[in-house]
Amino acid sequence: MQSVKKKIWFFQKKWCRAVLVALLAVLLAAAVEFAWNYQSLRWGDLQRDVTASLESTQDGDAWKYECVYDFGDGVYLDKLLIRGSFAVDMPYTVELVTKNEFGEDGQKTVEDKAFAVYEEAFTNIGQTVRSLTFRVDSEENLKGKEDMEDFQIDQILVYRQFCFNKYRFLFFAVIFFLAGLVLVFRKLLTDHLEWLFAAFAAGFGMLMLLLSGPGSQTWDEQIHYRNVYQLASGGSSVDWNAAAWYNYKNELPEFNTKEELFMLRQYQNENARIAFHSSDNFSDFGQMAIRAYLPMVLFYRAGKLLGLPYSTVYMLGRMGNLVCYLVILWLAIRIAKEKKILIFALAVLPTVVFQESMYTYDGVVFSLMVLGFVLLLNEFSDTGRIHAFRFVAAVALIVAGCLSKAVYVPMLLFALALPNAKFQNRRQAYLCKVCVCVIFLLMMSTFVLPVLTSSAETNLAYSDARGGDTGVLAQLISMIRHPVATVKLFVSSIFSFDNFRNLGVESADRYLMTNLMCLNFAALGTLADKWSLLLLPMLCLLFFIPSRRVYEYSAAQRVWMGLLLFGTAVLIWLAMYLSFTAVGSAKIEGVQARYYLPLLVPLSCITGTGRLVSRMKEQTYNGIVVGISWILLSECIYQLMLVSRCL
Amino acid sequence: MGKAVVMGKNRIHQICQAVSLVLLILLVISVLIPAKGTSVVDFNVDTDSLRQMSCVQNGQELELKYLAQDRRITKFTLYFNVEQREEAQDCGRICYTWKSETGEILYEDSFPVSKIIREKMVGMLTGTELPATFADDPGQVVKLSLRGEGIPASVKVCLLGNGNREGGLVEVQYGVKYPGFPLFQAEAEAKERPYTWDLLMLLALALLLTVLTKEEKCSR
Repeated sequence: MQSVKKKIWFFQKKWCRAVLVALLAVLLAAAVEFAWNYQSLRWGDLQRDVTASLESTQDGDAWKYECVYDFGDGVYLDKLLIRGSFAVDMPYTVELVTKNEFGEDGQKTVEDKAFAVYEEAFTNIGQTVRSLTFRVDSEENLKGKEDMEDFQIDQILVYRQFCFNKYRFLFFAVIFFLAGLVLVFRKLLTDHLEWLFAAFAAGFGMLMLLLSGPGSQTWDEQIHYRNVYQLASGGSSVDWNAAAWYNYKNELPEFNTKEELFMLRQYQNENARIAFHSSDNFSDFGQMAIRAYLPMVLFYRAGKLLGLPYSTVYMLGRMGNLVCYLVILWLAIRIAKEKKILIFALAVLPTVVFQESMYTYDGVVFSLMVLGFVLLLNEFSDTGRIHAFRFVAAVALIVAGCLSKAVYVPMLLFALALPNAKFQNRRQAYLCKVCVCVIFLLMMSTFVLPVLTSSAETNLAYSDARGGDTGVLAQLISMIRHPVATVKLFVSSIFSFDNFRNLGVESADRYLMTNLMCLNFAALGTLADKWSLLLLPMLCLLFFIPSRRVYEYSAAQRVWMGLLLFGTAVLIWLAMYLSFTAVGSAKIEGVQARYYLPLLVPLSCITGTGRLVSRMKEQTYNGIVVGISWILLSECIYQLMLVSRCL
Repeated sequence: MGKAVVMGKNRIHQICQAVSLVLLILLVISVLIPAKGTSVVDFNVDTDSLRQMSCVQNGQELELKYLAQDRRITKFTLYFNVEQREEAQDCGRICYTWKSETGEILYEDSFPVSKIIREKMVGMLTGTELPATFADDPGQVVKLSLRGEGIPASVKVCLLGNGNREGGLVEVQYGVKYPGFPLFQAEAEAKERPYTWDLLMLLALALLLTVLTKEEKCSR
């Protein structure tokens, strides 16, 4: 009896239940590993050397390698391995005649690449194969005979092997653990959402860190990494090692198997020992835009001081961003007086977590803006007088968030909508609002002054560093000369909603706005439009049908917020038209849907009328939102990171 | 208890006032005492119509003319291209001399050609900085003479230029002339006030806090 009581006591302890959930998650992840290796467990390991079937043919300057191998009735294969020395990065094709689970034949073609810096190349197969054709065509890739002589294939292997994939194991362990956590600790859904956020952000963020490899993945990450590397180096000049330089120049080999990810890590760790180039450094953190890199710089520097390998230091720098986001948004959810679940859902949108796990200042901008706005909205919903320190903290946080992207600064002006009754007297209200206006103008000066200075210097070439046929002053002149066309262009562009840029490639840009904004992993891909079937209902629920009655903003406040949101959207489009778009273009280039992410919390002030309130229990309501967030995050990582790159 | 709270608020307000005052003083100082810095005053770095121009040869002077326009130039950057037919141990040096319009020598120095080769290996257009210590003696026009020393016959060092007329503040005066204008960047002394904006922002926030705390104190 005593032992039964002890057992009950054991299960009653929270940490014991958490340990049990973790153990169960590990067991389930191990079961998935076994299931994944079902073929090799059932039929045993297999390895075939098909090099003997490799033939090379020459037609003038054109060379071809071809290897055709017949597996008879079909064998299940995991991977294809090519060994040799490759003069240049060489694309190759693997054509498979497969046998499906119904015994019928099918066709599959895999395009892959062998990189010159390695001596091995891997391709995932994961099918029952009847015959395999491996083909390398020199016509476009090898420049003449010299390259071809240096391109040598020593061995082609196909194999099936029991393989414990640590990335896959970790992925399933994390998602099962998080699901278990929600199911076992239901109170997390209502009373401690900030801790649930911490678990989600840490779990999914760390997975993204691990699976993304030591190279640039998110938008312009190489530029952000360069800034972090320079700031972490300190001193007046920067000594670049080859690994950091290749990262900055985005000249790293891609990877689509876990073996290639391992090779890339090794390659970069070796490159880090090679001194490559010296260049001038930033003087300090004086430039406003680079201050947001501070968390990344601190972690990167710590990694260097600890003498860790390059690929680990690279991940540590990214972790600085993740930790900063985790702390700031934990605080935001904790102190929010209402709409905690909305802030939670926005904070764990896949694109947000992805951005927060890479080198970029967008993560810091988002986090600071959200925390600042939560503090500001608290002042609206609080019944008492304004709280001086919290109000100033809100203003300071929004300002800090805007240091890297000043286009969001109109949001600050929502403070002007605070009712005068919140202040001690009218004089205090006016003085306070004047101060906010001065701060707004100071922030705008960072945005406008560079343009005015360049105008004074008649520097027509002042524009975005990414170049192109652009020029801010020339664009301004063009806009002033054609005012009607400019207004038409801006109104049609802002309300079009299908004209966002993602990577500047049509196939990557052609997604629903919501997918581009929330389910987008930059170069790694975007989830298909069908996933908005989950995302859109969740957003509708959060924005229009709150789980309980929330503070109702007056019509004037809503109109004011609407104007500010529109003004911010105009600034976003204007910034890209001035600096990123060719002079006189009838289309605004470069605006990405993710630029709207920091505006979602402010947007929630004008959606929902208070007449529509969910009748669901708060736990059920929050459970639906958390569940959808869990599915979307898991799917994004599984599809865009794990399956396509780390199996 | 109530009195203690009022005293606490009062203290906070006084602290805010003191902080605002300190920030104001710092702001005035930051405006009145600017830091020394440099800024790019002239440049011609457009690479759209990049072309190879006059070459630096052993014993022969290549002279460039630059309209300094009475500015205190501190750093001058030129862009070179090096072609090697075969690997050479010593690629020689380039000697340069800054002269005033009247021919008075302002500064002279040299740098190894291997420096340009190293920069070229990085794979981007990197300029070679030529310190210009004639900052204390500015003039309308300055001349820069370039002369090779010990450059092997297999190594060819040429200036890079473009066809950008607007950037034509530097012209080849003497030596083999090619159509176009050399790529260059000139930096001059400039006064900077790097902390003024930050101090203004902090002052505005401190004043906001002062306003809010003051009124709370009064009402109590």
